[in-house]
Amino acid sequence: MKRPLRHKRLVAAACVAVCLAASGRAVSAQQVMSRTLLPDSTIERVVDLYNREETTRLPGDSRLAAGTVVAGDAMSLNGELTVAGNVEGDVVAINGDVHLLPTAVVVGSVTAIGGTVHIDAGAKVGGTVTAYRESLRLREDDGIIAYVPDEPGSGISAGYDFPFGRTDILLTSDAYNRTEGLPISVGPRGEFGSSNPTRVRALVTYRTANGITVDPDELGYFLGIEQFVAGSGRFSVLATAFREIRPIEDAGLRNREASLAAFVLHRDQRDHYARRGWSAGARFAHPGLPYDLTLEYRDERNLSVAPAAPVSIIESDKDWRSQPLIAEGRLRSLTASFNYDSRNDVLDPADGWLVRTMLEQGLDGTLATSPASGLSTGALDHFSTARFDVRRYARLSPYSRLSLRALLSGSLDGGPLPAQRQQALGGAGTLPGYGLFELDCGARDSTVVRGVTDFYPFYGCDRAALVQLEYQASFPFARKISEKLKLGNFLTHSVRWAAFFDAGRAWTEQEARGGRQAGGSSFSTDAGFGLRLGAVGFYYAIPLSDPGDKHRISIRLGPRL
Amino acid sequence: MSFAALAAAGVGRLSAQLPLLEVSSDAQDQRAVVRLGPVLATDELRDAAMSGLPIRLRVRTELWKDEMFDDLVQTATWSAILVYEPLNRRFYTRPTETRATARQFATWDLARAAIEGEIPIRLRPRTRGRYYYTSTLEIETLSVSDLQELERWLQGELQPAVEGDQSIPGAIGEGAKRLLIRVLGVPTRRIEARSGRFRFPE
Repeated sequence: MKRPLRHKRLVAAACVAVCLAASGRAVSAQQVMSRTLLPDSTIERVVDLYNREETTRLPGDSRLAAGTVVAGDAMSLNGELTVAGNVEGDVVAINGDVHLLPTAVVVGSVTAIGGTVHIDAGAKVGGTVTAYRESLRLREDDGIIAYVPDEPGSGISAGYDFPFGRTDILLTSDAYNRTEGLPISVGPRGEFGSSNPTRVRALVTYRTANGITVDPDELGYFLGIEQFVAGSGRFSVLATAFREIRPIEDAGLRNREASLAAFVLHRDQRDHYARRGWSAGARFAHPGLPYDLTLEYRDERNLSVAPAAPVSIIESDKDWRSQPLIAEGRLRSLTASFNYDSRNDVLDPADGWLVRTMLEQGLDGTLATSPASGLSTGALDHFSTARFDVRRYARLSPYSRLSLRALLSGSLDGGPLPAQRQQALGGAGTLPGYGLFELDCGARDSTVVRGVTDFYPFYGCDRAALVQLEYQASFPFARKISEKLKLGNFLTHSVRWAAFFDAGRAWTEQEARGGRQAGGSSFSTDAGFGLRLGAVGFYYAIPLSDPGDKHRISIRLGPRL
Repeated sequence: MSFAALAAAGVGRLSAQLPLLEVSSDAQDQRAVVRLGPVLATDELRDAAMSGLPIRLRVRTELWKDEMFDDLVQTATWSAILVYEPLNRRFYTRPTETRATARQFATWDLARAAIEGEIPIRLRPRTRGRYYYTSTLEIETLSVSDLQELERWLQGELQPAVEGDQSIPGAIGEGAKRLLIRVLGVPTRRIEARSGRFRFPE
């Protein structure tokens, strides 16, 4: 039944090709629609087109020679597609350029994703010609590709595509916290150029804890420029200038969770420090693969920052928890970071890896522990530290999945670290059976006074190891109950139970303590159960290492790991 | 998303009488068969659409090979956009699959009927083994880039949506619209389904 239709389609396409060639219609470079952002609908269309059996797929740099006739669509993946022959459908290059030579005839449209379109005089195109600067992040398995979306951003933006690039106005925010309230950043973002684009971002940060008056000295800023080189879209050099307040660690929580805990419950789950300075570096990221490597030189000044008085819904009249004193002064350092993310779903992954690693070497500067802390760790500008955070997600059956996280972090040589590079465990994001930062080498056992403000003398330990394991499954009887009560998908797919186990240790080597406690000599463990209702999870954790301790309940938004 | 919104979404699902999303394997060739139930049968979604916020439905279906640690073999995505055009009081739908055509409807119910039902998913096993499908439906309002893409489509495929000819207030207006979408929590839903295990070849 299909053969005559297919035959008719081929004949029609051939007629169009002949007409095109006869009409001599040529597309000039001015008719290439150049866009920066890649819309979701375009992503879905090209992925669908690539995965069709009848599409001619050309991996890497490819060339369709003069005289070649492709009876359908032709697509290349992660390479330049050079066309000298006839294509009786669309031509698409994913993460590469399209080059149409003078003898090329394309009946359909021409699209380059993460690349540009070069059209030689005499080349003929029947449809539209579009070039998207944004690359397509994907995973490929056995010739089939799937789109790998980025983490959804918290910001909003609006802007234009111009012939020379795109500009946006960006409005974004970090987590609500006790030193800034809500830090709201606004400013322009732009991307210019084609084969070696330049990305620029300039943001000014207003902090709601400072009230409605705007004092320029209390505003933060971030200026960033990234210049791609070598034309492949893989290498770039970058430079930043910043004045900002950063969390010392994310405490295993997402920004949304930390924000709600601080704003609603008056419980800021993170500690912060201020930094001001600049950085310069280089980045390698294959546009079609989910990893990136960044090398960066930083020159910055670090300062402790006291809690402000942002509002909260509960207990707004109470004082906020103290902040730690950090090592203050100038720091010049070199960092290398590598990230790999092959998760099938960023919101609720059931397959893939998430790897985040970072190495940092202090080069010189004036970084030293504050005298008010009472510690004797002295100068801290030559530290070396590393962080390896590896997560694996695996599905065990249609009804169950396993998540595993291993974290190793801390001083490489056993020497003391500045407080802003120390580690502390305990709390909903790391060891939910223990209190917030309970494993911190005694950092929060007492406070010291600097000026009129109480501070913790330091942040935590120099080294930490953490293993987290979670098993999630649907209830075995859910399907029958759903069918009986006509509840649709709710019980079978939105309700899951979870069992988890965590083991963590944070410690400081003897020669590096300088007045700090040693930390744990063995791993502290906890275990528990949870119930997930859609995105909200309720978890009951029991500390196994300290059976006398109270059991704890935590609420998470999204998966724990 | 606020706790109240989450609770409301949960209640909404509880009140559903039919599965909102079903995935199964075809008895003949084991290809994925995905069916959307009454996913648009809520007043809040209809009101959001009538307020000018386009609705996107996205279904991601995965083929898993049943092993000790299951292997994600292949993923396919289908999505559709539903938008209300107040000038001519018509609803427009367009699946975003390759070369799909747009359709227009006089009422919300007709547009619903065009989207709900079996959707085309090109997914089937190719090698011998034991498999199953999982499927995730996300219903959301559109991002700014989607809005621009949609406008381009409404104006004709060949005409770019934005070439620097929009006013600054227009761009800020779009940003403000998206901010409202995020802050006010206009409905965003996520529904999951999975098939039973099956063997290939049968």
